[in-house]
Parts: sequence; C-alpha cells; structure tokens
Amino acid sequence: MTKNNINSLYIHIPFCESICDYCDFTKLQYFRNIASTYLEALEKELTETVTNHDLLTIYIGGGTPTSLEDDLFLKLLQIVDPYSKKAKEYTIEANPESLSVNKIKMMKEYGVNRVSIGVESTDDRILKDINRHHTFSDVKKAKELLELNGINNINFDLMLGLPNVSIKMLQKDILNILSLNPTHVSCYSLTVHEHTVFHINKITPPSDEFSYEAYRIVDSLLKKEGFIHYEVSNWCKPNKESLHNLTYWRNEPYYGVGLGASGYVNDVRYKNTTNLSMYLKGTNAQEKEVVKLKDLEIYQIMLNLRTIEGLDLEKYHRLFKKDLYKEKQQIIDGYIDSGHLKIVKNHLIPTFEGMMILDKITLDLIA
Amino acid sequence: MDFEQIYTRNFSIIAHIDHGKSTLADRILELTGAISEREMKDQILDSMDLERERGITIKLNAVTLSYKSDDGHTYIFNLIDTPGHVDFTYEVSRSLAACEGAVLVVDATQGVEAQTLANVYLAIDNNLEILPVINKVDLPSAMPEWAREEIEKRIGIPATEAVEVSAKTGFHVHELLEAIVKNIPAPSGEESSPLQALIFDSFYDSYRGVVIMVRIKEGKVAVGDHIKLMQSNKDYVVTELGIRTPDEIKLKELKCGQVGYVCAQIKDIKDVRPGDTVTLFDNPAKHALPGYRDINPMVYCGLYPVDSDDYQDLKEALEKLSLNDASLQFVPETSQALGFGFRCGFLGLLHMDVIQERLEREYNIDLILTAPSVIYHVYLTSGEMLSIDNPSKLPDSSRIKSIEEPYVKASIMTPKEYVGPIMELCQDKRGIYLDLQYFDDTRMILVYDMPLSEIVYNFFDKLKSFTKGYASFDYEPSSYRPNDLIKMDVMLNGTVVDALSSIVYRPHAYNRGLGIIRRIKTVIPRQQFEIPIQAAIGGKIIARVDVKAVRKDVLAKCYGGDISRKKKLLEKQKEGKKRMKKVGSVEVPQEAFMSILSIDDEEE
Repeated sequence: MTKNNINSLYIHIPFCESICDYCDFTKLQYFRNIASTYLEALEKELTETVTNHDLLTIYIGGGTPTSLEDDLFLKLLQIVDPYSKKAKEYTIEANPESLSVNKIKMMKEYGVNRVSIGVESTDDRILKDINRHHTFSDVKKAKELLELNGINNINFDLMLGLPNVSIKMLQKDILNILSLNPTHVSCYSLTVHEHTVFHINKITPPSDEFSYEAYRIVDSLLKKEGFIHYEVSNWCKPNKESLHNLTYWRNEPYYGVGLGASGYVNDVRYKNTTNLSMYLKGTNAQEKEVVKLKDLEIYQIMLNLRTIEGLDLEKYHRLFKKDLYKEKQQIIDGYIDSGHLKIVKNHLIPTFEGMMILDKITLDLIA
Repeated sequence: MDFEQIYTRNFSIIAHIDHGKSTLADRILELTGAISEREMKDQILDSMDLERERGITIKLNAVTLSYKSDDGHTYIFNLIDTPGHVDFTYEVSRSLAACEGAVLVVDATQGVEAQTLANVYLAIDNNLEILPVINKVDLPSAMPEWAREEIEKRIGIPATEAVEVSAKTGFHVHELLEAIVKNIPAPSGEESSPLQALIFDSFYDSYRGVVIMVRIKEGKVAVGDHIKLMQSNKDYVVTELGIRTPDEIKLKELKCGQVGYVCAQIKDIKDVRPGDTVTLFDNPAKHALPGYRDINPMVYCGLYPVDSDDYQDLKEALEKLSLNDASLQFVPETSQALGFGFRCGFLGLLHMDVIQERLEREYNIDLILTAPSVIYHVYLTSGEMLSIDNPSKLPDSSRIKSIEEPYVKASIMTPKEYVGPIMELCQDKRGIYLDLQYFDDTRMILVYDMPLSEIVYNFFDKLKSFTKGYASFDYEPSSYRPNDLIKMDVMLNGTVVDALSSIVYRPHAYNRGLGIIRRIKTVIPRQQFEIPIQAAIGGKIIARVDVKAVRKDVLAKCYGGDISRKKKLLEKQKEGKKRMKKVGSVEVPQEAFMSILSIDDEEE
C-alpha cells in the first residue's frame, strides 16, 4: 500500500543535560562516552535501514540533540549528511541554553534549515518551577544567533496548562513569542504521564475547559498576526508548515532511527527498542504492527483529520472502495451542522472547534 | 435401595444465608456415603455455578441417602433443599410440605436471624418437627449456650438437646444424623389410598421432557400409570421414575413416604406447578393436597439485546431458561429507544438478577434492562381495568379513573437502635405502619404495609445503609391500594425515551425526576452539542439538567510513536461504543436505563 518512496527520516537523540519534570520521551542523562557509542550504533542503523539517500525531510529530535558536545554534535551531522543532500527541510530540536554559536554554525554548514526550540513558558519563575534551565532571555539570544547565522525558519514550542499558569500569563507567553517573529508555533496542553516527576507530585493536568480556553486564546492571538492553524497543536506563517510532520498526518511512510524511534516502512509501523544497552549492542528488538487495509483506514481518518488539508474523500474512496460520507452521513452532517467539520472540494476538514474534539469525531467515524 | 416406610426420614435444612446450610448438607452427604469426597465439588446441592458463587440456593434439589444408624437399621434419608431467598417463599413452603422434619441451623456466633425465623414459621405451619442444630462451634467466637437461649427465647422451641456441630470440620455430624433418626417422625400415608403426590420442584431435560420432583403422600405410582395433575388439570402417562442419590436410580414404582422423580413426556414446565398434586387419572384422590397457590411474577422489566442482531439469540436463551423456570415469563415487546426485546416477569429482584446474569454469562448476550416495574391496576373511565407492567404502556391520563398499585407486608427485624431511622425510611417509602414488637432484648420486628414499587426502587440499599447491614427483611404480597400515581417521562435532547418512563407517586415526582435525570447525566457521554435531560409529566417539564457540550477532546501531540498508540486506544474505545444505544442523536450507555433504581431521593 505504501509503495511510494520514503521521503522522511526521524532521528532520535535520547540525551538531555537534565530531565524535565513532565517529559515522558525516551531520554537519558547525557554522558559523553555513552553518547559517543550511541552515535556509532545510530550510524549503523542508518546505513542498514535507510536506503533512500534523497530524503526530502529530516528531523532530529530528542531528548535534546544539542546536548551533545560540539565534537559529537559535529559527528551526528556528519553521519546524517549523506542523506540530507536533497532535503527541503532539515530540522533539529534545541534547548535555548545549549544553542551555542559553534553548534549553529555547524548546523548551517550541514544544511540544517529549521530549528525547533523548546520554550515551554516565557515566565522565568515557571521555567524554574518545572526544572527547565533557561530563561526567556536565553530564548531571545538563541533566536538572534540563529538568524544571524542564516537560520530563519524557527519553531517555538509552548506548553499550555502548566501548574500556576493563568490564561492571562498564557496571553503574555504568546505575545512574548510573537515578539520573536517566529515562523511556526506549537502549543501542547500538558499531559501528566506516568513515571514523570509531575505524576509523582500529583500535578493535575488542565481541565478540558481550561485547555479549550487556552487553545482558543492562542489561536486568536496567532491568527491576528497572520498565522494559520494548520494542525491541532501547530500554527505557522503561510508556507511554513513543518513538512516533516505533515508526513505523519498525511499517513505517509518515514524512517525512524535511534533509541525508541518509530517508523513506518513497507506497510509496517515499528518502534525501536527503548533499552539503551541493547540498542548500543546493535540488538534492536522492534515492536511491529503490520498495517492492513482496515488499519490503514483508521490511520487515514485519524491522521488526515488533524490538519486543515483534511481527509480527501475521493482518495479515501479509491483506497478503501467506500464512500465515507455516504456511510457516515448522519454523523458527518451532524458535525457540519454543529460547526465542527466542513467539506471543501471533497475534503472533510476540521474547523477549530472540530480540531478541539478530534478524538471524538474520529471515534464516531471509525466506530 | 429397599424402601421401608418406618425407616424413612424426610427433612429439609433451614438456615440463614452464611449459617452453613450447604456445608452441612455436604457433610451429611459424605457421612451417608452418597458420594465420595473425590466427586464432591463444594456444596453439591447448589448445582448452578451462580448459586455456588453467591452462596445461595435458587433451584430446589432433593437427594435420597442411605444411613446405617447406631441402632443397627439402615435408614433412607430424603434431604430436600430449599431456596434461601425472599423471592422464593412459596417454593420454600412447598418443599417443606414434602418433609416431616426440618433441621434448623443456627450459627453459634450469630444467633437467630429474621429470615431463619420466617422459614421456621413456614415449617411450623407445615407441622414439621424442628430439630435445632448449633453450627460453627469450632469458631473461637462461638457461643453455643447463647445460641441455645436464642432458639428457646425467639423461636420458642426447646433447645437443650440441640446438637452442637461444626459443618466445616464434620464435628458431631454423626450425632446429628442419629438425632434425625430419633426425632423426625417416619412418613405416614397408606399405600392403598388413591395417589397423592406433592410436586415440590421440576426441571427440564431435553430427552425426557419435564422431570417432576415429588413426595408421595398417599398411595403409589408406577411406570405406565396414567396420571393427572390436579391443579393444571393435565394428564400424562408415566414413562420413568426413580430416586436421585444424586445419581438417578430408576425404579418401578414410588410409594407413599418416598421422594423421587417422575417423567411423563411433559413438554411445558408451566403445566407443572409447585404445590400441585399428582394423582391417578382412573382412581383420583378426592382432594388435592392443601397449600397450592398460583405463583405470578411480581416484578417486570424490559430485556433488550445491546446488539439488535442478538434478538434471536436472546429469544432462544429465554426459551431455554424458561424450560426450567416456570416463574419466568416473557413476551416480545418493542421500544422506540431500544428496538426489539422482551418484557419479562420475575418473582422478585433477585430472580431478575439471576436471570440477567445467566443470560449474560451462559448465553453471552449483552443486555440492556429497563428499570423494573410492578403491575399496576389501571381503572379506565370506561369501567375497564388494565394490568400495566410497562410504564410506557400507561394510557393517556384523560382515560384513567384511578390507578392501584400492589402492596406487600414487609417485616423488618432490626437491632432496636435503628428502629427510628427505619420507621422514617418506611414512611418516606409510603409505608403504612402495622406493628412493632420486641423480638428479644435487643431486636425488634417492624411490620409495614408498603408499596412494592418502593421496595423495588431502592429500599434494600437504603435499609442496608441505614442499619449498617444489621436489619433483615422479608415480604409477602398483601393487597392493591389506589394511589395518586402518574407516569413520568424522561426526555433526552427533547425526545421522550420510552424505556426510561416510570410510574411515580405524584407528590414524590419532582424529587424522583430530578434524581433520575441527575443520575442519567453522570453516565451520558458528552456530545458536541449540549444535551438537555428533562423529566416530564404529561408533557410538562418538571426538572431539567444539561450535559454540557464537549469542547476539548483531542490528543495534542501525535507524532511518530504516538500514532500507533493512539490507534490502539481508538480501537479499544470503539469496542466500548458498541455497548451503547443510540437514542436519537444521543449515545446512551446500558447503565442509564437502570438509573431509575440507583438514585437517591434527596435533593442535594
């Protein structure tokens, strides 16, 4: 089913200088010798699995890729280099405090053209509370350095619903972010995952009402400045969508390499081992899901509806020999009447309200 | 086994739940060599899984045992088990009527309980010899002397000779068997008299038809005899008979004093009513045995398959269950909200529970039950009287002259400190005070005439919580009384949901309505629009709550590894959704239809 070329690659760097209280990604405290061995294992996996060298998007995420010391960071870029020659979008995630001039120069040299900065909050007290080690002025500095070195496509990640952050403070956050003239903003409402400090400290996630209000305010402030709300948690200036992330939501294949990374290759969705020592030994026991037609159908609905590109009903018909609108007319019409969905040019597209209850809509459409 | 009337003892065991009846029966079975220990599951008389799980006996069973007494003779014991719940009082009385004696089990740590008392009175009514036994004497907290006093003071029978046993360890069970031989009279009756056999139980066997359990009171019956059931007025030819040990042993005939089974190619269990008398067609007895009563369902509810494709399966399952259960009634009915299903009649709430569980467990059918209803007598202006067992079928109020509802005489035994709260509860439940008596120094018996609908509603739970579980409770039908009753509808998103209608006492309507809709509100999943839930009487809204629209329900981050995880979750939720009924545009989970039962009256 996914016979088309694989154009995207995700690389996971599982190291951080310190562990944030809310984070449940695959991450470890940074140690030089481990990181060094890790890069070797990563290179091995890359050569073994990634056959297409003309990738269109590359995304190095973490953890904190910039937590690597300069020489290791350089090595990482060199490892990826053979695959990045044709990349239209090459993103690296970074913490404001670890974005040194050196690293930025290396990025530029190796073709990185997009940086995603984890800002989370622009209030220094809140940042301290959640065990982040940067200040808003670090963010400003990082941004200036990036631009100075010719990297202008910058995303800022913001967290909604952190403890003790009011709607008013959130407004301030957005205005602060806007003052940096970003091309892309991601906002995620806080989820309290098991095995995190937040969970241990019994931090409650924001209520649905609060999250809704928060998203609504973010959306209206950003739209005023010409941003497009193109995915549930993502806003961008025109033509600045994250091409890499669109791969996910278009239900297209991608490589995933590194500890705990996920990929979607040849109709198999896999997840690499999260056991570091196994990974370093080159024993990568993957969890695998063979995507059958009925699974593909669920993925298609669930993922396509996340963006304003929406679900192409004609393509859906072609793929699954089903008229989704006809089969779910009552449900779809109901959501159209209530202002959650619209149909434009035979695409089923969520409105802002629709994106906010997308899980419910998806469930109604697949059940 | 050779039968000799003077060496026969027919008896039951009377005990409160948990006082060890089944365990004692097991020990007796062991000691009489009926079955080897190896073959024994726990508590063999309770043959249904459900019964074993709940520790209650629902269907009666009887077993014939042989016991070699210390006096050198071999005795035939017929142990007839009785169901242990208030829904089955009549069946208990019929199985007691098949005996000459009853072993009364009293827990040495608990003393005499209300339910025990009720059954002892049934036994006394049937002229049974009561043989008290004090059980659980192996427990450190056992107070056998106190239990003895309890028996004497409360039941008023001598207990100095009561055997102290431990059914668990088998201690003194042999002494008990000797006491049975010594104290329980041998059955009377003349072999030469016309046949009178008391039916105390029956079950269906797909090869032989209905198998009747009988106690021969007079005369005898043999294979090939042309028999007649005196109440149902049906006649058959006996194809097989015998005793159960519990394995069946076929015999040529059963004679007076004996307990056994009879098969006669009977197709419909409804023709075989407990308490009916079997006689010979050509040489009938002059009278039927006394005490026969028609048993009718007291509580009705709608049973619907969650998945409408299961309708046929549900029908077949009900047919199969009713083969063995004459008191289970069902007729097809349709509900706008729930589609095709059945209106089923039960003896009481426990009976309803049991049937529901069996359908779900043994037949694997997911069910929606509507709230149980009693039978209302509705007098129309035309002079006609309708029996209404489904609130949604109540005619328009303009056609109704009056409505009567069934009352029961409820006896509640309680430690005296709870008398106040219970009286308040009973008054809230529209009970009419009949009597209050001291049972002993610490306990009292309260008697109220109460609407059955109030008992069905949430009386048990309330009683339990008011008395920390110390009160026990028993009821029997009394009469129909007229009351100010009206139909209350529930509207979801503006549409009346017929399956949620109930008949209520008008002065209680507002509180009841509010309680119901509040409860429904807690189980209805939020939709993308606001859902008003309203209680209405005759089209007039009396209470309203709203299920707020869902505003945010989305996974914020959906990249890489989140994708497979999210899909797995969706698939799980999809399964859950299958168990909901769509009523108009609103999804309603199963439990909403039972919410009428589980609410509090009190307005918060």
